[in-house]
Amino acid sequence: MSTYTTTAPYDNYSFTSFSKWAQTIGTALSNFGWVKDTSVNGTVNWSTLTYSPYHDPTNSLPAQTTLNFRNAWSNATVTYAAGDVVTSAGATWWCRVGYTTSASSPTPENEIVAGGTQHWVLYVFEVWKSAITPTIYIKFEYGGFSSFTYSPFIRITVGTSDDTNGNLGTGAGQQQSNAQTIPFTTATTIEQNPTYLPCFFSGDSGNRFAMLMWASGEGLGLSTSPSFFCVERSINSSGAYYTTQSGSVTPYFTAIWAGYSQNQAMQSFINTTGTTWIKTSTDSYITTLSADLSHGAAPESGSPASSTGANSSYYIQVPALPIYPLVGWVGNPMTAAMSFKVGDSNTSTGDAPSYFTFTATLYGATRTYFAARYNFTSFTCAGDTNNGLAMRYD
Amino acid sequence: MAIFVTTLTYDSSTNPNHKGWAQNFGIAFSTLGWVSSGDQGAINYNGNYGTASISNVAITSNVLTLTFTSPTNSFANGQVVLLSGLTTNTFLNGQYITVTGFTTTTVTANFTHTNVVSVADTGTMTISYGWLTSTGTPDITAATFPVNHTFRFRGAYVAVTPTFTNLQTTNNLTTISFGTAGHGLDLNRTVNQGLNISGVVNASFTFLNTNPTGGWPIFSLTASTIVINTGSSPRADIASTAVSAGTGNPVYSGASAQGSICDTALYSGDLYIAITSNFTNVTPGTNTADWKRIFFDIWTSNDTLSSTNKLYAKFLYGTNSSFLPQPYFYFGSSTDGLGNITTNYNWGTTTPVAMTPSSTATSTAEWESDFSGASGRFAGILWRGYSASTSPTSLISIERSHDNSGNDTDAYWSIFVQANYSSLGGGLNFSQIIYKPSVGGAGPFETGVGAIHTINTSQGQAYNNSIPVLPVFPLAGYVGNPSTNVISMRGTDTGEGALVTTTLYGNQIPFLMSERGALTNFGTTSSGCAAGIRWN
Repeated sequence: MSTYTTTAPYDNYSFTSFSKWAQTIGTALSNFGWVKDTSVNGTVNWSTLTYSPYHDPTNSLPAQTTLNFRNAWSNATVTYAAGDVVTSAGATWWCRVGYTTSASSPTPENEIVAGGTQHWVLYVFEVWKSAITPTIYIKFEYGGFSSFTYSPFIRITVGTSDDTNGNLGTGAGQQQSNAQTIPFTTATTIEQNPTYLPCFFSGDSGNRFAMLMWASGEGLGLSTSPSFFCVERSINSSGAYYTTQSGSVTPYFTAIWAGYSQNQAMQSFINTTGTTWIKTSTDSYITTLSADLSHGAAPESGSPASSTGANSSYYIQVPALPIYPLVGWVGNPMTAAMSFKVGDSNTSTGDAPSYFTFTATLYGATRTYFAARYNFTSFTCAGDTNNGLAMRYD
Repeated sequence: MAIFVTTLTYDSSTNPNHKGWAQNFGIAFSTLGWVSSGDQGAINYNGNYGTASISNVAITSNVLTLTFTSPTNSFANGQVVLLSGLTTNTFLNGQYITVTGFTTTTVTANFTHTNVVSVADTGTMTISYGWLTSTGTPDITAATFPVNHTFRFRGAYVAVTPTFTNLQTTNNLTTISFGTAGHGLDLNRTVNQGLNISGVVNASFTFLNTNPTGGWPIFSLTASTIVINTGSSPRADIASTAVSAGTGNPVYSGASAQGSICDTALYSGDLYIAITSNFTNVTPGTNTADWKRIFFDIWTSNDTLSSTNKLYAKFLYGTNSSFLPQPYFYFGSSTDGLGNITTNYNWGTTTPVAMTPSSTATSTAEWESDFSGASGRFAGILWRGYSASTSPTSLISIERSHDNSGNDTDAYWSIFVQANYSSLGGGLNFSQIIYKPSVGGAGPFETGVGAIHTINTSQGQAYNNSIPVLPVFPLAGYVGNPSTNVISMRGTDTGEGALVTTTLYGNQIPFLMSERGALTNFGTTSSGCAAGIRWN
């Protein structure tokens, strides 16, 4: 178990900024013991890459599709189809519009200068694997948002297998999640010489991983920036991870994405027979407990709001709200993330401070959580503005 | 542990229709093992308001005259009296009569029967109030109705006393005597009530005709005397003086504002609450400006753990202007015996908390309603049979805390209500934790989105040949062990009226599911949910 804290810019204007934030994720995973799947062709090579997504200011990654690695780009009358992936100039490129090259075709990296149809878009991705089996595969695609590629965007797909083309969920009985992006929505105006924002990671070598990127960016007008992702394996009633089937015990793992405009998604993968996986529907709710609680201040403050338990001597403690994976049954609570009452808005006083740690007892163990509110005040379901995000941070 | 299936009307426009839901709701509590709190004025009060022994009976021209001995309280006009134990005029047994005249030894009442020559008899006269005496309907409990009241129960309503027969002032206490005529005021509940006096002609006592605001406060009473405190008009003692003029009008007082202290009184088999200040001689039921007819129950848990943590559940059975039933809730850890939850943890202390108005009143139609529970828990799905898209189907769950094995503990009560009520400061769902007295008071009263803490999901949950039920968790400062009284599910994962058996705490527990009315939003703002109550 460990944590990793760093700072990174919320910016794609320069390769320096882009490579800084994008590499933090891999650094954290590597620190925790996860393994980069180097068998995947086209995986980003940070030592040779010199472009940022802003290389093409208006074209970002196409919707996820089955990819086909075609080796190095060639102008020798080669026909490329959408979804083909090639390398060129130390970078990997995704064919967004099929065509047949000729001797006069510009290289992918030079199309933007040459003008005309932009067949290629910079494709920076990597697949990380848990060091514990059954293997959890996480594919990170680093890009720019929509037609505003100066604005960072991470597309994260979770799966139970991969192939050398970088596709997840390949093979019989294997699954991949829907590709989820954080931030989820439109870009914001960002600085070109950006302030570095804190990024928080925690995890272990293969049972869990969580990240909270660009915390507190809202204070700089970067409202889209705080973004969250986690994945965690099934836990038994004692709080231990389990990975093998035993009687009615079925392993699974669960992923959560959350970010700007209260967008969020949750999905689980269930290992039904050992070699066969099924997946749950993508849930736009976080399967935690909603928290009205009707007090504007934490009871510890000694001044719970009048009319809502006013001056009553109710217990001076507040609950942290677990997240229960729903995998055909109610799974034991996750530890990688939980929720808490935020107090009706990200600025109201609630049961835990924003961007600060608190402790909670789960499975008899005291764990540290990092609380975040901005972009996460509906961290249960739309319409509920009382639940904040707490990322395990130990 | 028991289940109880009944029907409820959804209408308060007539007495039978009102009883059809309110009385049956109370029957559910009693059937499942809850007991009356013993609060006077409650329609489920299991005591009486006074008794006397019948010594003689006569009927002349359909007027019944009963002579009695050993009265424990005054009789008054408008009181409803139950007759029982008569050995001669046995046709009177079980009859309720309404008093039209009284003395300290007799009452008269209209009673259609052939004449009965005065004859000695035995038996008991019991001043009564309950569903069997009620003939009225609730008056509108609109926003100005003092739902958040403190009752000041006055017993029988008295418009005016008989004429005074004697007056005496000693130490600024004036004793008014009525002789054998009596006065009708309740002997136990009218101390400090005001008495407006008029018509006194004896010069020494005409000062009594100048009534202070609120009347002369009653200091004490006997069957034939009332002592009032005249200290606000101090004077030397005045010797006992026989008089033949002067009457008293008891003053009733209340207010419509929330939090008001309001007199309540029984009249003609119903209970009324005063909502204006300092009025006299307004017969309850003749207007709704001064009096409003109300109905309430208070039930208490009765299990073993009630010795250390008993719950008092008060229900006011109201109505809106469209005669839609409006049950109001009050929960706490004690009462004052007069209809007030003395430790009323926020239910109704700031805004009225009602459930359910939606759809339209349905007259005599009866809708299946399902209850389960025991003497330490209660669950109900009300009006589940009302299948229209605007169904008022609502849910209430009252349950103790549980240990890790699912056994009841006395640490706290958790209460969940899901209804369609969205005005008067309420919402779709309510919840509260009430801790063991002396331990923690009560948790916040929750009325907003998320007040019912179940697991939220927007998706059907059938995977791998298995469908989960979604537990409901009390938030008691920590995430309490889950409810065994109520669960939720996605609507697509169950069906209306389905019986779903699930394993909780290692035990197989059946639940009755519904996805009608408010239950489609159980615990969330989005539709597509279902809720279930324990069904054993």
